[in-house]
Amino acid sequence: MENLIQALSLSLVVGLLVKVSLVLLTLLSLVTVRQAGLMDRVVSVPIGNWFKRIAWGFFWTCLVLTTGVILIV
Amino acid sequence: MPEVYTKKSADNLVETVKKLVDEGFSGPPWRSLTACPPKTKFEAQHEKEEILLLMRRHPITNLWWMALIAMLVGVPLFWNEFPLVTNVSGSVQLALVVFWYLGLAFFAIQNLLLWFYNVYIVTDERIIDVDFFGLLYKNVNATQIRKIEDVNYSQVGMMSSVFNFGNVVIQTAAEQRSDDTSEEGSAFTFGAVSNPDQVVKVISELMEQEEKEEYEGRTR
Repeated sequence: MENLIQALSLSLVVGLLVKVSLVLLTLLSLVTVRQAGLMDRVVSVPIGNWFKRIAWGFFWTCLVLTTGVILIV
Repeated sequence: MPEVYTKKSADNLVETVKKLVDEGFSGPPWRSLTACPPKTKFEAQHEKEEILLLMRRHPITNLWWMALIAMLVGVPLFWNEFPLVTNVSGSVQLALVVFWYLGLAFFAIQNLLLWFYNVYIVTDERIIDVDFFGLLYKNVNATQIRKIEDVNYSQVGMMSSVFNFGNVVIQTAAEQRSDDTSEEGSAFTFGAVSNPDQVVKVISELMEQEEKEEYEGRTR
């Protein structure tokens, strides 16, 4: 019983840390989207749009997975 | 004296740039050295200013972070060896795996963006050094060709000799006051660009051309 409580506490702490980290990572991914746009403005190259798409794709992936983790875990 | 402006059209490109274009260096702009890159512009570009060279670090310099990611990708397979991870529930373990891979993806995207957009540009009028550090800091240095005093390059180490890349250092007449000088010695250091000898040659030819124009009394 004691082990179960210990394991549960550890899960809660680790779970909370992971959730907070994922939220921070999602915010950083949003900053990356902005950064990719600004970089493309400084030096505009034909494939610059691909980098913006990658940044947006990463942001949406982060958002969906973070929401999923927060709701499920 | 009347001011005569002569735009350097394709006919007026310096010899080495023409040679680079002929050798196929004018291809897609994700290469380390691109001569006359198509459809490429930069901030504060003058209306009639032409980009002659677009450079960035040699792709092989990305090897360290790619190798690091390749190693770290397999880490979750060995997580069961750590007591801390085995003591948490399955759903938390899954969340840890999600966080791990998103973190790696973030690291890769950051490095890719910084490599791609840290560029060095040589135009028919100026040289521009665009440096991004991390997420929120950029440093852009620009100087006119006629203000360049000296240009040289160095190739240090086995990798730079094998893959033919090196640092091109450009000294200007004025003392450089830039955040970028602390580690590199000059604000205009083109780090790890491929074919540094050709880059030095192009800049030298541009300097000669500029001197000739000044001698002939043509100013911009």
